[in-house]
This record gives sequence, C-alpha cells and structure tokens, in this order.
Amino acid sequence: MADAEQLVRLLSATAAGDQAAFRRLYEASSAHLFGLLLRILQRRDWAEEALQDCYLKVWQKADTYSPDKGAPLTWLMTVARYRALDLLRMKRPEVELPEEGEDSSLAFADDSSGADPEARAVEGEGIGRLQRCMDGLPDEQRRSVLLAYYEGYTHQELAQRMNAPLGTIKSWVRRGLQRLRECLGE
Amino acid sequence: MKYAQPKLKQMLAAEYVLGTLHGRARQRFARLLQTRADLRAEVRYWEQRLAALQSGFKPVAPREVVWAAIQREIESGARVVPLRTGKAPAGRLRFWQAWSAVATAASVVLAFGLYREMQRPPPPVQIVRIEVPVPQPMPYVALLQPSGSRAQWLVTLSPERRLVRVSEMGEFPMDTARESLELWVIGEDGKPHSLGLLPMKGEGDMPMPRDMPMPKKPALAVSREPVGGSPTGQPTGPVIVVTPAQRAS
Repeated sequence: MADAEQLVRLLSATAAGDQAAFRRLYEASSAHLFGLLLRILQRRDWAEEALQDCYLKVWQKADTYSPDKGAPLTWLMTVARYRALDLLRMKRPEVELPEEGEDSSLAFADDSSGADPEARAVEGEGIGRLQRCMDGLPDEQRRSVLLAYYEGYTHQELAQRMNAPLGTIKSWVRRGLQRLRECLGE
Repeated sequence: MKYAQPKLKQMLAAEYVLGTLHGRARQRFARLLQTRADLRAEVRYWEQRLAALQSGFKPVAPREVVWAAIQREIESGARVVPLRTGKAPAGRLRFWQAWSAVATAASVVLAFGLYREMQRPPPPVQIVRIEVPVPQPMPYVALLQPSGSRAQWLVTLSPERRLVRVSEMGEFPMDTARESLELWVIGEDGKPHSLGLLPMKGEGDMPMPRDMPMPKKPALAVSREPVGGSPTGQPTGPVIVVTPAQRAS
C-alpha cells in the first residue's frame, strides 16, 4: 500500500488535472475503498457503482483535500462511505432487512478475519480509544450506533431491525453519540 | 431548525456522519456545510473519530471495468486528438488544451517505417499512440451585484464538470443565524433550479445537481431564504438579483 505522503502527492497532482497521477492514486487506494463499500453495500454491482462515483468525485474535488482533513486514505474512505449511504437511500426499498440476530459484524471490523494491519496502522491509536469508548456504551446504544454506521440504516430501519419503537431508537442513537463524544473528548 | 444551539449542532453533525440524518434534513444540513465553518468543524470531528470503524476491512481489488468506466467519464470532457511528437511534455499539453480551434477527437496510431523495420529483425516495430485532451468548453460566468449593497458574487458554472464555483467579494448585510442566500439557475421556461447556498465569505465549490438540465441561455438568481435554504425547493424569499450568464470566451 502507498504511504500517506505519497497519497497526498498523488491527490495534489490529481487536483492539477494529472490523469497519470489519478490512475496511480486509484491503484494505490481503490482496493481499500472497495473492501469498505462491499461491506456496507453487500452487493458487488452496487459497490462498483459507488466506487466509480466516488473516484469521479475525487477527480473533481481533489483540490478540496488538505492534510488537516486527516490522513488521505481516511479522507478517501469517508468520501466512499457517504457515497454508499446515498446509494442505499436510493436503493434500499429493494432490499429485505436481515432478521434479528443475523448481525454480520457488530464487532469492530478489525476483530474479524478480514483485518488489514496496513490500513489499521494508518489510523494509529484512534482505534484503541474509540474501542474503549464504544465498550463503555450500554449494549443497545452501541448496537444502534454500529448498525447505523456499518449498514447505513435509518432510524426507521433500525426500529424494524432491532424491534423497538422509533422514539426509543432515536434516543439510543443520540445518547450513544453523546456519551461517545464525552468519552472521546476534543 | 435552530442551528445556533451548540448541543443540537453537535448532534446533527454526529447523525450526519453516522448516516441517521437523512432525507430533507440531510440535504439541508449538507447545504449548510457549504457556508458554516462551525458545522464543518463538528462534522470533521466525527469523521475523524469514527474513521477507525471503517479502516479494518480486507482490501478487495475491483474489476478492471470500473477503472475503464471512470476513465471514460473523465475523458468525455477531455477527448483525444492526434499529435505528432512521441511524448508530449506538460507544457505542450496545456498549449493544446488552450488551443480552442481543435475540435475533432481521434487517436492516432503511427507506425514508423513499418515496412523498413520488417526487413531487419531488431530494433522492433515502433508504434506510438498519443492521446491529448481536447479543450473543455469554457464555463458560464456571471457577476451578480445586488443593488443597494457592495456585495458581489462571481459565479462560474461548468456543466461539463458539474461544478459551480462562487467567489464572494464584499459582504451582504444579513443575519446569518436566521437567513441564507440561495443560488438559482433559471432556464428558458422561467423555472428556477437550486444550485445550493452561497458561501458567506470567500470561495466555495458546489456540485451541480445531477439531474439538473442546463438551459441554453441560463440566468442566475439569488434569493433570501430561511437558514439552510428554501424548504420547498422553489424560492420563498425575495430575489435580490438576477443576471444572465454567458459562456466565457
């Protein structure tokens, strides 16, 4: 995998319209973005569509990246995740929600067999801290936050999936986020 | 919605990043992000803290067709024309991009002395394929100057890149906690389509809405709206300026 410094250089060359640099940026980062998109979208065709949109966006908006927005790979993954959320909003009615108890990965991604030490290294100590704070949340709050994050569920969908009233879900999500913020600090 | 309350602001930003803020509320919030640095800071806080969640998945190489599709799209704005030299240095490319008379698109395959080369084994046949971007059409430009104020906005609209760029000079007097300025494009049919909120200071880029048709003779307008923009999708407040936009040349 390309190191962060190299990705920053490729992003800035891309912003200047350098197609060769854009190609190298794609080669260095697309597998990471695609892995994430497959996890969220669960369908290869959607993940491919989202990946395509995402890199077109990167091509247009590479100039809006600056190192103070975080590590370049993190920024790219964030662009990809938002794209995945948009896509889900358009397509979700087609999909049946899984039954209660079929959680595919409510644990942290890096607990699963798909752990990628290289990508993890990018985040540094961020994982440890977030993990500790997540662990401190009551069960239902942690589950609502993680389900929303990984599955892109709306409140409505969470209510259906977790079999709880909408108002309860909303307050689980909100309190979970509030507690997280207190725990994570500035 | 009262975006001035810090607690509410934090929560909206958190739910925006998490994804549970959706529909109209999400769109309004996304538009506000263009103009509100405090909200952007909140969003960035959550993006960076939660980024750890998205980092651990096994990389999967996408199929080659995805790159091909991406390349096709970006080249539909920068097609290929023949050029005679083997390698075009960057400066050369810019020259060609600027040379707006070049309109046809083709790629050329040059075989140098193919016949002669075939007579003697090495060096092998030299085939040079050169692809040079054709210049993109110039963007639409309009300078919007509302009467009775020193503010002006320079708006550049590139339908080919689906991008709107706004630079603000001077400041339009208004209470930003209660009001936003929304930019519209108006076509021949007189129907306004929202392009998003104007940045209150400096420069801002906005994507052009995907499904928005680009009129042949567009006019740009700015209206005063409640914070976050028109709740109806059509201008609800007074229109402070309307100006025709023209292709720059």
